Amino acid sequence: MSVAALQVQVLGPLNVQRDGEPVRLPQSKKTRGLLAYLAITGRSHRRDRLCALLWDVADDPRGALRWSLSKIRAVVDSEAKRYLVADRESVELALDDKSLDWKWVRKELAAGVDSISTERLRELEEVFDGELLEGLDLIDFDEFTAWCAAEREHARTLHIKILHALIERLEANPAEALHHARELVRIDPLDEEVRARLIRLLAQAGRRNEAQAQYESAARMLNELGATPTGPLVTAWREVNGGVEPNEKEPPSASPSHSPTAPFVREAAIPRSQSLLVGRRDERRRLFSVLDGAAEGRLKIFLLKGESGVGKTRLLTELSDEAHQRGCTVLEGAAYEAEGGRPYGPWIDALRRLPMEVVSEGNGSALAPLLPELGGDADVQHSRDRLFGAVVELIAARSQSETPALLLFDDIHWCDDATVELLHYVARMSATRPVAIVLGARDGELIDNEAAMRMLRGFRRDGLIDEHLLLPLTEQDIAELVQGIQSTADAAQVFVLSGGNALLARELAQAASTSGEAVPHSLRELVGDRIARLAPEAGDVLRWGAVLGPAFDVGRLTELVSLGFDPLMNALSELERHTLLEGAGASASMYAFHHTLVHQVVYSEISEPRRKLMHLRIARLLDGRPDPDGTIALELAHHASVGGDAAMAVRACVNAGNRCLQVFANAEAHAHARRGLRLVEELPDPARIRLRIELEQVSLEAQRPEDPEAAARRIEALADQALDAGCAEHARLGFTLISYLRWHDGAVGDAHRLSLRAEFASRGTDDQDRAIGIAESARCLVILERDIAQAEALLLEARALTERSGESSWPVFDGVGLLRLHAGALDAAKAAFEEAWSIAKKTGNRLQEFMALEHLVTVSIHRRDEDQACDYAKELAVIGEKLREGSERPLGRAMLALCRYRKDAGEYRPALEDALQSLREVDAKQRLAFVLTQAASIESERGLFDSATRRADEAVELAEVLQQPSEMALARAVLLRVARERGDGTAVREQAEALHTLTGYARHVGAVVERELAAAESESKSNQWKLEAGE
Amino acid sequence: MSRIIVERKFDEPEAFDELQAQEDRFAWCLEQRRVKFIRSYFSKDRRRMICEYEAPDAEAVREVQRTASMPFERIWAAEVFDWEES
Repeated sequence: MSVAALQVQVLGPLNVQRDGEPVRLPQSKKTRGLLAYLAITGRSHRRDRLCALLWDVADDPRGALRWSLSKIRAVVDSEAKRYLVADRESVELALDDKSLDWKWVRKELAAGVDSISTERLRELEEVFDGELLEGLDLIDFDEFTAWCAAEREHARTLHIKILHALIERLEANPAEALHHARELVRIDPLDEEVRARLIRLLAQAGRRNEAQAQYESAARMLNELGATPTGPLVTAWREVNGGVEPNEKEPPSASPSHSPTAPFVREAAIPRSQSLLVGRRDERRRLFSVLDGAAEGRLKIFLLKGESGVGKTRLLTELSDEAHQRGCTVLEGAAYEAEGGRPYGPWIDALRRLPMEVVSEGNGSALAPLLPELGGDADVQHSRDRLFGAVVELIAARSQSETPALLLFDDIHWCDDATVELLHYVARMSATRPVAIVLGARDGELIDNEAAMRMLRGFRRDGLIDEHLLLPLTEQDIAELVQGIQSTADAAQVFVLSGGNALLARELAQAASTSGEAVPHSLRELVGDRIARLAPEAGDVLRWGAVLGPAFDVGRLTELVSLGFDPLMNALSELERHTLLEGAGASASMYAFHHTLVHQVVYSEISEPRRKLMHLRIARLLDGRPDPDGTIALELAHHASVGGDAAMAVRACVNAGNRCLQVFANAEAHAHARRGLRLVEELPDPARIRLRIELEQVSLEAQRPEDPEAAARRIEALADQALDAGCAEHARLGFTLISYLRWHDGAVGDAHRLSLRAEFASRGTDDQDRAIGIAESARCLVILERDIAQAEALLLEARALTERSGESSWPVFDGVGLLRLHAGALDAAKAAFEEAWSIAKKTGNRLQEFMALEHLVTVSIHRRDEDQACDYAKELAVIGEKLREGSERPLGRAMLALCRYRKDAGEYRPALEDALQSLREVDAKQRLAFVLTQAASIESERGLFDSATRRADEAVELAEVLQQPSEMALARAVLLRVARERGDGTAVREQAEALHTLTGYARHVGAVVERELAAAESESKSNQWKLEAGE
Repeated sequence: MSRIIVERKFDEPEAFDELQAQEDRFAWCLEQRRVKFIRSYFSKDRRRMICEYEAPDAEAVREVQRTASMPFERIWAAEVFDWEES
């Protein structure tokens, strides 16, 4: 490949060179991800799509994208040439195949490997410097993750093809073929054919011991993943060993694991700060002074920034030990990259590290959402405020002027939103207390964490925070370090190679002491080398640990590795000795990688197919375990989705999302829902439908969608599908979600429970009967104005059910009409009542016909269409006369009299009075209140104030008994108008106050109330003098 | 709250348990409308029944009886005259 001015390498860790010189990449991982995405896709992208890819939860996604693009421009563009083309709408990074390794490789291989010369194949193979975009995982961004996984798969397939071809062609040159076979095994260690080939090549080269080690390693690996060696591997073994069966010679360590029943207890670890610390005297002093400052009785906040491996954590450990020595309470936690979805992770770890008696001094039951082991009262309603308050109280109780409380949170650039919110809250509530908050972060990656940035901006604005950028070690410091660990390395060389990075310098110095040979220069190679020198068992333990996460419980490990108790303990000791692992947290069974970079190296050294299988094995181990508080679901969601078991992952996402909602971590819940929604489409129906509805629920509870109507339409289609698939419960949940979206009052969970109770009325019958039962329940709710959102959900379900049976149903249409009337959509309400009337006429149900007409009269009165109201009322009265019992006959008469009374003053008054009296006798309070209020309204317009007041007063009394807000509000609106017309200031105030306290009435009633309140307001201003003089 | 009386008449003798079960299915509806069952009087021939409820008004009881498809002749609001008080 001829060298281009700009070279972007993605086959391995992302790397950019300009004119042959490496360019420093932006520290923000998202920006690097964007650079890689633009480079590899190589086409134009709309800005909003890019925002959705990486900044969908940011406050200002377009601003964040602009910022990232400015950083990318600095990397790729020069005065001579601009590669990044961006306008207001779209962005493109146009690289030719000379500038992008992956593009070049794809182009060369387009016609297949056969037509390419061996020499060219060698060149192509050398371009692969590890996995595509190694280490550049953005696990919280599903679309990016999915895209990246597909590209990696593609790159791996091509790499494997090249290696296979090379091994074939290099048969005459076993030494070189061996090199490629090793690489092939590294990429796909589970392919037995490939492993068999390597064993043969090793035997050919006379390296029998290595051949045996390869066989054992393969057998152990297969065993861990629940398989045994089959044909090709065993045949190769026999060939190499002259026909001897594997188990006859030396059985490979394939025995199942013997998990100890006793919990694992680590030997007491030495305090971490006893390991060597060089330089950093000023920083140490500054950090200790934070404790001194807090001891004076006020909050101190300090942020220690620096690049990865520079020594932040080591310094924070010094501070922690100092605080412990002073007798301070220390809440200490760190965020991990893989843990974004575990809400309050660092807080939970910090609280668990405290002695139990300290935690139980506080409000244990309020802390139970974080620490389920505290139990707590099941009847107590948890809330975010209560939880946050309990944490503040606990810290306040442990903060004394001599011994301030220290909150030490490391790697906050990886913090979840919930952790940051709680931290911010604690800071706000602790302003005048002896509390020190010290944070560690990679400054370049902080920009990717919106929540942490927001908190830090807040601290800066209030002048609360001191910040310090930790610079690389000096040459003198490095010399001290090399001497301190008794390394034979050349200190000056270590300084140059490490650039003063403490972690790299230590690795370099150690490598020189142990090997004495020329040492590799990158951390990846250094750690890789060290792992290669480990005993095979220790290597396996390390890899399983890496797949479990940056910190893990040994209990889990014992279930995964094929090792007995003692060999496992030996392996762990070896890993501790090699400073690859160390004890973590208060629990003796917790281990963590010495540094997150070490974890990253170990993890990325495991090939993708093997990694996937290992995650899957962990997922299967966790699946089905009792998980009362949903914490296992958080782990399971991660392992199952990386392991590729979509069904298990989606179920876990629902559980994990609900767990996050329980602890008020909405951002994390939303992230789980999004991840689940991405995977759920892979599932077959009806599981897909059911789980998608459950995920929609988590998503809605976590965050209200920007376009609720679009979400409602989407969910309605799903609920319909659920009905078709016979999933009635999920259909109902879907309808409940829609109603929640449209009315947005009350919690989704409560609404759903209510609906389940309502459904009891119609259980066990056919679709049509169920639909009627559900619609009747909905009508009941609307008439009572009790829970309008719930009524809508039930009616949606009833309508979907009746549409299936093809039979129109009266309660559905009448219910929808009542609902529309309540929402103030009078025309839609009228159309629904007319439909209900027509159905009732067809079925000959007089009572239903009467009620539909009653509602048509009502809606016509509200539309102020007097003629139409009168026409309907005539029909109503006719049917009322035919109904034998109840309030229908007097109501029919009353409505007709009312409509006529409105058109003609005096003549119909006696008829109205008679009908009203009959309504009183049959005790139909709502119907009576309606007619009374309407009559009072007519009379108030005619100046018949005494009569109007009498009627409205009676209506108010009736509505109060019924607890019906709309009737109450309408009657009071009439009383307000009468008071205003009469200039009675006291009565105006009394009615206005009463109206202000009323809620829950229908929207069209709201319009009347507002009109009357506004009129009263303006009149009382203009009549100020008159009213006051009157008094 | 008013005292409401429901009068029922059946062509065939009815079982109390079945009637009760039918109404129980609508317990949710009763609760929503604040209708509370007090007591029933059932004739020995099982063809007549008087049920007593407490409710905001008689109409609420009518609505529930109709929704639950319970048979009834008349429903009315009553005033109570107890022996001690009269």
